[in-house]
Amino acid sequence: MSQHEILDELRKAVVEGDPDQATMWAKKVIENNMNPVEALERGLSEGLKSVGDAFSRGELFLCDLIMSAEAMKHASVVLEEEIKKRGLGRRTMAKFVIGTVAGDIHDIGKAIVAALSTASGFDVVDLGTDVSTERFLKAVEEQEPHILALSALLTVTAEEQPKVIEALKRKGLRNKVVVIVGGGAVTRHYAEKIGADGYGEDSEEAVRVAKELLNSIR
Amino acid sequence: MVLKAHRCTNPLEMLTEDQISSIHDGTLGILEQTGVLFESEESLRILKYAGCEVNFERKLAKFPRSLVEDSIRKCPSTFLLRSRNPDYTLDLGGSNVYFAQQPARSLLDDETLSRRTGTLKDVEDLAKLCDALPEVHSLCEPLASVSDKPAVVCMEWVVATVMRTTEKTQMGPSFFGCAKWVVQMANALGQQMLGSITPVSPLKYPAEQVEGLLTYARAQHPLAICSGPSLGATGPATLAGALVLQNVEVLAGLVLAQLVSPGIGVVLQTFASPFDMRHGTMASGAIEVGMMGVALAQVWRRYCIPTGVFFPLTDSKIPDEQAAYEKYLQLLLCALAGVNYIMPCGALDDEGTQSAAQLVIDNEVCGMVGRVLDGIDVTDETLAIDLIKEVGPAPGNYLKTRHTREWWRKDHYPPSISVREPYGKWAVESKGIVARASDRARDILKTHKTPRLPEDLERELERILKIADEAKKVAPRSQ
Repeated sequence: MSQHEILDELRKAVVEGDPDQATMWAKKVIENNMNPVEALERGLSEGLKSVGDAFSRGELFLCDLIMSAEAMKHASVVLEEEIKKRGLGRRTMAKFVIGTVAGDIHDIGKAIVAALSTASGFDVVDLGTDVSTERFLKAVEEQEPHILALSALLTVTAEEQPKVIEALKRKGLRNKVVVIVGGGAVTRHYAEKIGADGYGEDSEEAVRVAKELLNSIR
Repeated sequence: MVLKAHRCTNPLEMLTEDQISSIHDGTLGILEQTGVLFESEESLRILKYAGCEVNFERKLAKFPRSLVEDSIRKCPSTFLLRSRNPDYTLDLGGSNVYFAQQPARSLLDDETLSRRTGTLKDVEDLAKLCDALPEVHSLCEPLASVSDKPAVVCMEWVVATVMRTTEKTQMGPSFFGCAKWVVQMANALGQQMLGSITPVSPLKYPAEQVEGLLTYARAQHPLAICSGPSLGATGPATLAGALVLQNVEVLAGLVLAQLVSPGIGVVLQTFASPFDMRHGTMASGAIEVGMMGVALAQVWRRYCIPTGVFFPLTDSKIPDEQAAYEKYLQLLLCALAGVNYIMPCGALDDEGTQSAAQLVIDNEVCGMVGRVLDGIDVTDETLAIDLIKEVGPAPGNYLKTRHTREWWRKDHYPPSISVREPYGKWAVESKGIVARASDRARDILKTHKTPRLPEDLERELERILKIADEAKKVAPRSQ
């Protein structure tokens, strides 16, 4: 099988949202001594981007997008490990750290934003749910992301979002990162009031706003 | 005005006997093998003592079949939800069908069609409308948050505002640990709450919901246990799978309720909706929502347990044709299926907004649907055989008969806002139904007199609210 065909299969596994197949083809990449950076960028990322594009055109749906992102995540683990082992460099992508705030265990909306921003070319770090202010701060310090996205579904937990923003200010990190907020309990007005840089009513707006904000500061 | 239930004597069905058995067996299997997560040490201890297999570290309880079946048997097939005014007491279960208000997060301005956060005054207005509208039999917290109270105590204040405004029954929320204070207020007034308990799908009872369940049940307030997975996201994509998951979730709560308060009245409720795979929203106006209402009513009727739905709902943002077709298809399905507690009144945009105009329109349609349930009365008098003979062929007519005068009123639902006038008369104002409903709402708010709480009870409510504020560390009233 040619290297070209292996990349095609890798891409196909992501498009079809099959984590097992994607992992298998990622391993084939390594067995065949191919370049793991190229496999990541031309196989996985391109595959997921085509799914993201089809989603934006209304041809594919969230369940497709999520499964494709899942397939990419599984295969990435294999490739990243190899990249590290070989000491290879990667094209740097804008980093996007996301999490649901403290006291809030709602995962789905945040997972969709994470998938869609991965599909849009961000390097996404998903901190999960019920993330404390301290963990957000630590992630900003260590990962140095371009974007920090805070999700909250409940009225009470939305009050955690300004706490994170205030804590960033106290640590002198506020102007180092673009903060966007969203989630069921959060409105555009609220986002402005608490001093966030951007707001997404849904996943598509969140990712679009993140990109626009990034372009405006670059 | 004495509140009278509509009656559904021949319920619509959607499942065969075999299908019901499959759902029941699947349910018991999951309860027994997978179990349900309870974020409450106390509830896990109670369940363990009753014979559940409990893993305290994972907070997981697995339910033996016999315990579930015993608990189902312990549930009363009918029970009263007592108002402080007996005229408004609901007799839940059997063939009785009641219509209730649906809660929402914010308020829709029916003229500008813009959305805003409500205030306690808005809660009072909405409760006043519900008090006046005859087909709204029971209420729910009209707004889930208000701008003039901090989120942590807003439930207590909203419930108190409804209590002050109407003697009709209402659901009791469990959010933010409010059940304790709500129960105190209800007890002071001598009325029962229908404690609303909502597990999180899949298979989890969060701490505040368990606390609500224990608080209401121990204080002898009946419960409405409601499961609401989103099909394809927090529940299986298939309707059948979602029916099983919902049944598992409500029965787990029911077992706990019967353990802490044997014989306590429980309404089993569904709130499932498909996850919209385009927008990531809950498609609560979907027709499948109504179908699941019919199916679960059938399963729960088999258990002889009163049934409820936490809808009809719509995804439309304004009172329009979509709001009407989505809400009323679900409403008609559930009413024909004999669901005992249906919540069609007031909400738009899922549970996003309350609209006064929509509430008035919903009241009108509930009356029409109630009329369907009341059926066709066939007696010698209504058959009118003698009358038909007597009037004979045209130009004979029925307008000038005593029979018409008597029965026209009894056998027909009188709409209060629908357009029936001829074109010329209508054209004077040329108002559509939303404008007419808005006018009616304004008129009610201006003229309707709500009952006043006696002064000592008013002081008692104030006292409890003050303690709740202090307990939750809210600064004294500052508006």
